[in-house]
Amino acid sequence: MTAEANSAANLPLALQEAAAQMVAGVQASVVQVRNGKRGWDHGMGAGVVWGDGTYVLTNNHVVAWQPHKELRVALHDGREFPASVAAQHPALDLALLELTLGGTPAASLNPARQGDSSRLRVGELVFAVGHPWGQRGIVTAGIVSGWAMGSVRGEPRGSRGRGRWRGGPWRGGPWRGGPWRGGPWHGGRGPRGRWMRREAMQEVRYILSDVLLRPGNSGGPLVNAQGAVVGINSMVRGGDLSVAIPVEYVNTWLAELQQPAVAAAGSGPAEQIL
Amino acid sequence: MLTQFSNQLADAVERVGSTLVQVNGRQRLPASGVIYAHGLVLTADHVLEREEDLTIRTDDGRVLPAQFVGRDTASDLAVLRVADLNRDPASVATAQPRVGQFVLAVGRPSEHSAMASQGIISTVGGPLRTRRGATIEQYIQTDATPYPGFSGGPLIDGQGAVVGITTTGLVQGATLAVPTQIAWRIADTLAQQGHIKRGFLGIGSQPVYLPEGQRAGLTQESGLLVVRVEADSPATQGGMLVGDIVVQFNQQTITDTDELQAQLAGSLVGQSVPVQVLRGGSLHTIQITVGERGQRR
Repeated sequence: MTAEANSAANLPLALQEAAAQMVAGVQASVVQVRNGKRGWDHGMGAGVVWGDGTYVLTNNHVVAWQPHKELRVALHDGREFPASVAAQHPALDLALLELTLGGTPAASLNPARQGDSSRLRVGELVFAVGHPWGQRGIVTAGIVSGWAMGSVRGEPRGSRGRGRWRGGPWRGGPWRGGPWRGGPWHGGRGPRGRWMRREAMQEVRYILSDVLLRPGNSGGPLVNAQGAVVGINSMVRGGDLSVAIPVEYVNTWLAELQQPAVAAAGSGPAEQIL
Repeated sequence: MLTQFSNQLADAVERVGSTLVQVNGRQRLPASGVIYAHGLVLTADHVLEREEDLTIRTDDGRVLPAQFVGRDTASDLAVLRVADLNRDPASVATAQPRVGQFVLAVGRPSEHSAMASQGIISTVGGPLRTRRGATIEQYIQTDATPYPGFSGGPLIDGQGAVVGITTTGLVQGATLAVPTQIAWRIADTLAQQGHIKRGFLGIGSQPVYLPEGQRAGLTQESGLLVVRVEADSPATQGGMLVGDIVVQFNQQTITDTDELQAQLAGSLVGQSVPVQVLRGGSLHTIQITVGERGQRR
């Protein structure tokens, strides 16, 4: 029976086939980021192949602590590449990894398609792909539940390592000024206890969804019904509310880095309407 | 295909969005409500910790004062009247809820936008004994995530029509919804009377097995043993004694507490009803004028 005949006969079956097809495409661009000598000493997270295929986007907290300087990225098809951190945005909890491909054509890594997170609507279907508890390529489905406003410090200025905000967005991110914790943040203690005015902060509109996330999902993509990446999954709040960083912030950040190769990563393949 | 489905879900949330309000009636985070008739908002009873100084926030961000109209603890519903609402009431799902049906729980706990979670109807059950002993004929259980502040908000189908009113206050730990037909009916009564009448006898009872030969010719195997009769209650005035076994109420056979509860409808309040009891091995019929159960918690 063809897909069209199925869709006429049974809607759930047709949806199921469409979802399976879409998910298979996404899984090919999702990687596992392994931090540490034995591959898991300092955490394992997910990541998504970005740009031309040389880069992987993940959460900063997956790669923030690297005493062994051993970072490896495992692809869905079993290939593994060493990686290094190309850029970090600790406040947004984002990191861009550069892969050492050693002659492998970058396009063979299946860079992810990017969606438009600013057009997301509450109720829209979303899927998370990651490796909860180390299980590879697990897909969970849900809908966009709403938004959480948070303030994070903007892109760190000055030399690397100075004035940086160590740790992730939980140091004043969406936990403050979320949907049920009062209004926007007017200022607070930044790194090393310094007082920071609100002007130094960047307003972030996080995506809340009811997809199931567990440790190991961090850094993995949140995709829409078309299989285009709309966010980077980063944490769970209140036990059952998943928080993702919209891809629009990722692109703004990558564009600000002003490195041609990395900036190009921000303008990867655009969303296609299927 | 998937995109189409996804868009229709977002459309459904958008459609119900204009009738979805935030209800501020407690110290903790706000809850949700739905505009069920012109100028009237239906919400959950347990989210109203006060009856004055209530406000709602509409989809376009207006904060309007709301006047308390009535509440029903048993079904966990309450009605508010809001002037200048200027919103059409929510559309109602006409079909009966079915197990397996795809639903969305929606609410407006945040000021930014409506929130939603997806799931299916897990159970369509009932009757359900709730707090204060009253019974609702039917309830819906869903596996959609009840975010904080979703109580009082609607459970909608794929077209944005209301299937029920979500509440986590009816049974601890479960996300239940009062089906629209029941909820709308109770809301209408609340809007008219301010409360729901429920029958009251003033007895404590427990089901007992009736041994063969002690049934005074009846076929039923059990009855309700009266273990307590409250002073000045309708039961006392009707002459009911501790030790009586209730076997019939208003011509209906009674074998356990739920059956009596189901018979004690609000429509009987003030009426004299025949109650058949086994007393000392023989049948007696006494007349009891049904009282009204107090509304306050």
